Amino acid sequence: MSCKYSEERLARWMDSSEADLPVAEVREMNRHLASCTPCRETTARLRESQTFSRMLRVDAVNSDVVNHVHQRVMDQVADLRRAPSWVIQVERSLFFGVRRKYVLAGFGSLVLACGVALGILWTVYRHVETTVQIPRGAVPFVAAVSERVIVSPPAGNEPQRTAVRHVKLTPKTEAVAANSSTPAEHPPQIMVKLFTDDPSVVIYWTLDGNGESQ
Amino acid sequence: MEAAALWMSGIEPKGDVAEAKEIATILERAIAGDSAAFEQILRLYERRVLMLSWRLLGNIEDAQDSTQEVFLRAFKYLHRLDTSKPVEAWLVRITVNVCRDFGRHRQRRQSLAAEFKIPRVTNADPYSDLASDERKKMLRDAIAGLPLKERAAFVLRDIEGLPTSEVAAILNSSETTVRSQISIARVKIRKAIEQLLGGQR
Repeated sequence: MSCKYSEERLARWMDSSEADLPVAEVREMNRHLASCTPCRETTARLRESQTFSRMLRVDAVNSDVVNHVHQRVMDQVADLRRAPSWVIQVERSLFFGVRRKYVLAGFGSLVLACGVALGILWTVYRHVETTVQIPRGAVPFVAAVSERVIVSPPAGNEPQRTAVRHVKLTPKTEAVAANSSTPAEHPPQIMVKLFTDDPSVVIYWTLDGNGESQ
Repeated sequence: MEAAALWMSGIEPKGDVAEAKEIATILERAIAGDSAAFEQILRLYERRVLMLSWRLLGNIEDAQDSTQEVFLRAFKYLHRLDTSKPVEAWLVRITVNVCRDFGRHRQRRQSLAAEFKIPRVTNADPYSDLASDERKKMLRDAIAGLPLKERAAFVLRDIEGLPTSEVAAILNSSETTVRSQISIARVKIRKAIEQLLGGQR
């Protein structure tokens, strides 16, 4: 067929009376068919074919065949045991009347989504805190440094934020503490030196024995 | 849908609400485990399921096996049926799925040309001779030679007479896809009929 309309499109148009196609398309096709003989012939053959296919609607099966199938089904059903009614009720209430596979698929998706979310959270926050263990004799104190330090900028520059890792210092073991020669009642002070992005700005921070800044 | 179902099952429509209530009652009893109620359901719909299977599979032997499988599945999963919805649609959906499985297992996806083993005849009007049982058998073979999805869409739409929207719902597909499958199937069937009868025009 040399026409711009394919046979498949004509076959689809055959359903136009049953609202299967947009009205505009049906009108366009009607206009075309009025002037195109090959398309009209093709459509006529499609209709004949469709009419014949519908003759299968009046087919009937022999009652003996139906009875035979009926007997086979009932024989099989007698051998089958369905779950007791209370199991069915429990299943219905558990799955809210939704098919089991959809509920399981939904639950699986939820678990997967939670796993991904937890993984992301762990990746983001795992660097926030680092614990460093050192012998009590060397630095026997607990010191805490702020997570972020805001450095005052030079005049005319924008403020800068510098992330500083949160460091927590703890005594290594009690045994080390017991062997330590440093008297606990006179803990030494420690000095924390913070470098900033600006090499001209260095922050010194003195901590006492209780880990508090001075 | 219900009208089509009744028509296809050979059951005379009684009217409707009362009958729907009666069927719902039978279904509830069957769900509760009453095998006599299940047998009533079977008696109501077995002919229809058998006919649909026959049209989808192309031969009555496979259709009998398919119908048996449909009702066994229905019995097994009856408790999942929503009794507020028409049972016909549910059974049709099971039938299509079972026939699809049968088609897959038996490797019946042959080309249309391979299905036609009868001698060709030359006739001015191929459709005039098609009323005989033999011709109908050839048509069934032609339908059985279609790819599974096209076959199901064609049978449900053009032979069973269901609206496209219901066909799409049963096949779990979009209406656009179903329309496309139906139109392709119509062209193939048209060519098959003319080819097998030597009526190339």
